[in-house]
Amino acid sequence: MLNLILDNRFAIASVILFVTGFANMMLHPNLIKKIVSFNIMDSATFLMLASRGMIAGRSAAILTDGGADVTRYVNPIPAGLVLTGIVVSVSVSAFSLALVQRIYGAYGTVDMRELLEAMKKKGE
Amino acid sequence: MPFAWNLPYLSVFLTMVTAILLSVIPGAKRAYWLTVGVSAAVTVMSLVFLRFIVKADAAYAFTMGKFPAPFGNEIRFGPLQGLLASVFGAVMCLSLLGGRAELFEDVDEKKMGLACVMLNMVLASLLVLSYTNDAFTAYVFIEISTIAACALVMIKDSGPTLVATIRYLFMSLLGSGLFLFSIILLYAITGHLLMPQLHESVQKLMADGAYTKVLALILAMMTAGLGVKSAMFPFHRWLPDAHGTATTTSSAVLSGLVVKGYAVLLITMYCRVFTLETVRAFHIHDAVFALGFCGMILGSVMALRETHAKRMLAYSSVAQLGYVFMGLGLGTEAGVAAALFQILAHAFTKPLLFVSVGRLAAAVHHDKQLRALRGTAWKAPLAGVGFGIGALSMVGIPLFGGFAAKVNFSTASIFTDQKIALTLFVLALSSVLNALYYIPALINIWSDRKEAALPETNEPGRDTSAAVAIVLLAGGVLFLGVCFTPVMNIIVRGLELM
Amino acid sequence: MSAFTNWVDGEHPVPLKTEFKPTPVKKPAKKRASLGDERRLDGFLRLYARCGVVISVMLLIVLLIGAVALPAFAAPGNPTDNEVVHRYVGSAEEETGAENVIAGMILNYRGFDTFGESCVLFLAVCCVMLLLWATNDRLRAEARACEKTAPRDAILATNAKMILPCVLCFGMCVLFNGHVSPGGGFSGGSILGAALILFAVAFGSDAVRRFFTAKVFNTVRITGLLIYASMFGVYIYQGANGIDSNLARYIVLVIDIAVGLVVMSTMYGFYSFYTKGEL
Repeated sequence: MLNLILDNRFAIASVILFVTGFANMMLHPNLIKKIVSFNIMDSATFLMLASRGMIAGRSAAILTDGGADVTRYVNPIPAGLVLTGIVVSVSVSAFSLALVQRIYGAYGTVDMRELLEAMKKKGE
Repeated sequence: MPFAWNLPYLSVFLTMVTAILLSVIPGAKRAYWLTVGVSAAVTVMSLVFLRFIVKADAAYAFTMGKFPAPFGNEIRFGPLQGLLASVFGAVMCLSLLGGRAELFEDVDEKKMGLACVMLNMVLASLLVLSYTNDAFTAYVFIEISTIAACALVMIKDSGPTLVATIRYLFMSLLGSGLFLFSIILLYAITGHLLMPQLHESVQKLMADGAYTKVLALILAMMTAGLGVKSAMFPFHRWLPDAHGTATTTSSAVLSGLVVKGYAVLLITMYCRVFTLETVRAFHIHDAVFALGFCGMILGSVMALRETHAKRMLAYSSVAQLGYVFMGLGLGTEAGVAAALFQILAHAFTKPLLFVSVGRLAAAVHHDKQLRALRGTAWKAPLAGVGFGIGALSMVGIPLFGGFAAKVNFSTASIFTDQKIALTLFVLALSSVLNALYYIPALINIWSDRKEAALPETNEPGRDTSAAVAIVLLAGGVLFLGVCFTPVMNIIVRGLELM
Repeated sequence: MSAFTNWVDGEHPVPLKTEFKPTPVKKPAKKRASLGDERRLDGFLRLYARCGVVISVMLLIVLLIGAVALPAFAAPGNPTDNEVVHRYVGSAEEETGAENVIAGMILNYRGFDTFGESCVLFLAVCCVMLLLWATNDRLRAEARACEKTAPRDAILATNAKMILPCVLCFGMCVLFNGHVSPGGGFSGGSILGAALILFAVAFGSDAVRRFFTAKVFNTVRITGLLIYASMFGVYIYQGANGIDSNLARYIVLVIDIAVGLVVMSTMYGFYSFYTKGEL
């Protein structure tokens, strides 16, 4: 059992992070913290992905010998996917932060519950 | 290779390049008509492509670059993808035409170009989601579709739409997070991202009995992730706000198309990567069936309680998406085909209803409470007729698209072991429930306004483009209701060739 | 200089355009006439919280079971260590002209994904513009007034003068050497974007506007994406139709630079729209 856990330590860490982000995103009333938890969730997926690319005893996939020996380098695919994921996550964070800024301007709160109440009061 | 096989990728690039250019092209009118033109061009291209691919009766992989399957990006198309692309393009074009007046009222003139960027990007992402042969491309375009769809809700730029947008955005992000995680797990146990290789590896793993737990987890997460995004039952709460408060074009596009894109992707993943046998082996289809079942009934019940016309239509979308998931949950080819037909039928019907309601509400200063709409059909008769056709199709009256969809579901249920009774029961119940809110609404808009003490109406004014949209969308609904056999043949053949 | 002394004395207030107040502690529910609505909302939120906790705990358990069953970390011969990786590592230099396999992979083999990714960035800027672009005069005046009150910071300006050239050089280096060393369009672009933001913070956005106007911003952003779209479009056409060409060897470098431009303008665009509502 311990061996299994040690073998998959990064996967387990990333799963715990993922659920932390997921739960916070569902449950936290504060919109800014929701955005932060979304970022935690994304980081967890990146950790998972990056750990999948690692192969013990090999170096980063920047070729120094023209790729003559393919067993010298780690898997480059996860790195590329993480790059894509980061860009997506940055974009989405920017979008949602702008949205929160506008919502704060309109209702004076970033708390989901107060927001719902304020909307009710305005009769919207 | 015939030139026609380049049309899918050309249509994707056409929409994306137009979107990029639109962000700097000045002039609201120019941006709008350019977008209409591009979606019309996509429709024509897809129809031409559909004709060739149906004639060829085969499915092809098309490498996006120099390197074929396990190495480079790829798209894959058969008759089904051609059909879906044509319908997506056509409905996009007609929704744009139908909501024109309201779009120009609701959107700041300087920001019209940006709104059109979003519309184009939605279309591009829908096309890619149905064509793609690469799981990670699917993820990237899911995100494009998420951002663009959320932006479509907020282009109206009022307080409630902003709040609806952020709720929609957060739910979508949960969904795409789950989808991304499932793809990564899939990559971890197979080492591939391209669908043909994924299929092979999954088959091999199933045969060896290796990683079954992880496979079940992947299937469940993928279903849940895409389910959240296409408003599967317990995750539907964001939909009424988002679709109910947005401007008419956005509501039509979101309800008619965007949620379908994810359902189509889920079907592709089921049929092309996992195969329905695997799905059945893990009993995922039973869960999907149950959720679809609940969605059909509870969506309609919620719609019954609504007094706001657009929110009523939005809840009805939840019910209609329940049909799609019920069809998927049957776990047979016939069930999936019926679900695809329902996707097409609903893609025409719901925009028709939204456009009609938009036109009817134009006669009462855009008040969309059902009460205020009383008698407005006499002011805008064409919209009244359009609403009638849409409502009757939703209820399931013969000759309309909704009826054909229900027939398909019933026939599909015959080939399952235990679900026949449940399916027929829920179809009947949901038809009754649909009738319970669509028929009163229909009577309401055609009845006499003078009896009720309501504020004065105004003249809605002429709107040729909305008239064209209503006629063509109604034509689509009738076409699907009358000539459903050829359409069904294309779908079934497309599924075989997946 | 007086601004500086004021700053040292802590006399000028921190000028924030939008102040976020912390979430107040929940007050005990007041008895009011319209209690029904509130109770319904309370009930819903409580139910939602419970469901959320249950779902999260279940998800955690299921995911942990899945995570333990995954192939072991970093073991050679995992399913991910397959012929695709060997092909990428073995032939990337020959097929794409990039020693940095990752750059070669994302810009050539999986270039369509990366095009989608650049479009995500582009869409994000468009969304931020949709939300925060001050299109009418009142909003613009408000934003301007808010900006003028912000004093120049002497320490920051002096330091920026020393740091900026280094940051710019580093950014260029990362951007232009993306295909042979770690880096590339995305990282180089964001470093350059950070340099622009630093410049704007230190010397005021009027100074940036001297060379980076809205027109330049749009041109850079659109040109970058269009270069990518047209080049990759042609590449796909050639690749899929079996037309032989040498395009594959150039696209990595050219597209890398195009992406870098897009990312740089995007990053500065975010900053600028957040703080001023315009460029």
